[in-house]
Amino acid sequence: MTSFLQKFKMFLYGAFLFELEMHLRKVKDTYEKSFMLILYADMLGIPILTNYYSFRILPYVINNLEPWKKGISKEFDILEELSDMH
Amino acid sequence: MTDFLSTPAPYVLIGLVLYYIAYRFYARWIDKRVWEPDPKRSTPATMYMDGVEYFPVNRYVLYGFQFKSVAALGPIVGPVLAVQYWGWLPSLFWIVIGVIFIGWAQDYSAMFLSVRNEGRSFGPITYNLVGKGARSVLLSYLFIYFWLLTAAFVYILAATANGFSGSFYIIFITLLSGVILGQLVFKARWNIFYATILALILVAIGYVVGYYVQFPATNFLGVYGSVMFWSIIFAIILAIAAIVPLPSLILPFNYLAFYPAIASVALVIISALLSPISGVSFTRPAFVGFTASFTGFPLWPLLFVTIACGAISGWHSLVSSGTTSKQVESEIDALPVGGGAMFTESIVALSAFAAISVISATVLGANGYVLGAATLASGILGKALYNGFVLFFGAFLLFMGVTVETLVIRYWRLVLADMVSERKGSIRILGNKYVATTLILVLALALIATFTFDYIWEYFGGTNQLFAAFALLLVATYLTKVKKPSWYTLIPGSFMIVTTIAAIAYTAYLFLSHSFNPTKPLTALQQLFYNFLMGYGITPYPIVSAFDVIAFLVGLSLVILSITMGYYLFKSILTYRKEAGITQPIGGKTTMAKPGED
Repeated sequence: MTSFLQKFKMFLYGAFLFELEMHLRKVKDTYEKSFMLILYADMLGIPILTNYYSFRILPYVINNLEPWKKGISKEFDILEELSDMH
Repeated sequence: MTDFLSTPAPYVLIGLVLYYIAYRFYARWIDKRVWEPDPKRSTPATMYMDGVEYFPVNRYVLYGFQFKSVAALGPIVGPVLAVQYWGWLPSLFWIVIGVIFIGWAQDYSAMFLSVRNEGRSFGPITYNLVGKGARSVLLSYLFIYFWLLTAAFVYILAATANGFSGSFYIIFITLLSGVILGQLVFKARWNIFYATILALILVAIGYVVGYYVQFPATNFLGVYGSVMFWSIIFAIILAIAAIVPLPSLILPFNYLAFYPAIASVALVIISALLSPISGVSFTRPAFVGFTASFTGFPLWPLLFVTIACGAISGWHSLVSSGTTSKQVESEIDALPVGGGAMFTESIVALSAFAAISVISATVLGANGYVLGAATLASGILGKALYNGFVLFFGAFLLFMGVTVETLVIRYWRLVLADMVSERKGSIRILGNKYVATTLILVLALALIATFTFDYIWEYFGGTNQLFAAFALLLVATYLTKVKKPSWYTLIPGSFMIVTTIAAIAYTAYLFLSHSFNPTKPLTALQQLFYNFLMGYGITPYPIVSAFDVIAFLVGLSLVILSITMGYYLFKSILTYRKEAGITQPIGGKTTMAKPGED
């Protein structure tokens, strides 16, 4: 059972710091997506030359390939950018 | 007993009790009967978890976030104006009834609609349910909405900075503290706890500077000149804040500003509840009449758009459907997060109602709130602190205004860029961030310069409320499609759309009629604009007439857009009703032609 104090702390975290957390998650994601794009853009049909590092790093990022492809080709709507502004 | 009833305490208390009852019974009943939340059902946060947009968040954290997102300057300015126009009783009535039957329903339903539609926001949902035309109307609508919002809020910022000398230094030093905090946390990687303490010390220094350096004096360039001076200053600050990256200024500033903001709201509410002890009582009439003082606005429909946030606000549906819906951990969290945050936000409106009701002075913009809040707080904590509280609450208004405005300008840029992205030629330059930012601020300054704030606020409130009406009707469309009772959003949605179209049409009509007879100013305030122009030997009438025509055209386009959108939505509702074979009237138990698929 969560105590009132814990609930209140969570409320304060939501009101004060959650916005910062969301932004940092987005920044991290942008860097990660860009990194993957440099290495594996050919998987999305963008003609780049596959280089040594693409193969060297592949075993480490193999699990991220599908989420990355899904994320980068996701439907985009400007109304969803609201999370950056409220 | 009479004394007790002439203080804000019983009315604020009644409001709070009614909110609790409405949440506990009506909202839960709707939640169970209409949306039937299933804790075992996956939400977008768990289904599409990517750790960036979609990830489950605890309901208390999300509630805090939602509250911060929806509570801004709106719930303060609306009641401040309405109490001065029509008296405190109708204003209180609309705040309480509005949030109980309409406000929470919109925030909560918009969130649930998005949760049941893969966490999508209103744009794609509108596209799916209603069609491509409706989405374009929605974008055009936002375009005008943000312009009006910027004009209204920059005017309020200017009026506050002018009315309370020294308050500007507080916000300026807080902005600088925000920059320092951003650097310490994001670049130097300080622990946020220590960085916050340092930044808050700087903010406190800002208050001390503001208290002692009261320069320039109020109205140092005359009322008109001073308000325009501060408008330009704030336009420059907002332009810089809207252009620089979020972590450099906006994020740390928003975080810092929320400390004094939450303290201000809590202080006003507690002081209002203790007003029988302090002896601070109502000085304004309970009911002025069906026609407003100062402006002559009729109670219906304009009260219902003057108080937008606090009773119901379309802005919230954007937050509910665009952000928080992607992080709702379980369907049973939608009510406490969406509905609960709206009820809490309405408490901010109650605080504004209490503050403005205890002073009788008529001042520019939302300055009445500052004086009233200072009266309430100093009544409890000591009259000697009055001047300090004036500055404290003045700074609170500035914090709220700047926080919202920088983000509004960013969003306007996105909308503008989206609108011109598929076009060719030089119009594409409007998508440039410097051009778009300058454009909205120049357009807003032009609106402010005419000194027709009361009318602009009605346009802004109307646009906001229409957005709420669209959200409610969109939810009704969805509920009809999935064969669920839709009356609880359809009836308020219909009321809101009729009322707000009437309000915008009426304001547009006032502008049009004034354009034919510009010799008399629209309000006493506009006389200052006339005097300013005449001081330079310029005849104001052609300029005012031209502005009136433009303002009328803005109103007309809003009415046309609203009728178009209303037509699309009602048409979809009727189509889905027909498809579902619903024969009984709205509100009755739905009868289906075939067993429903969800």
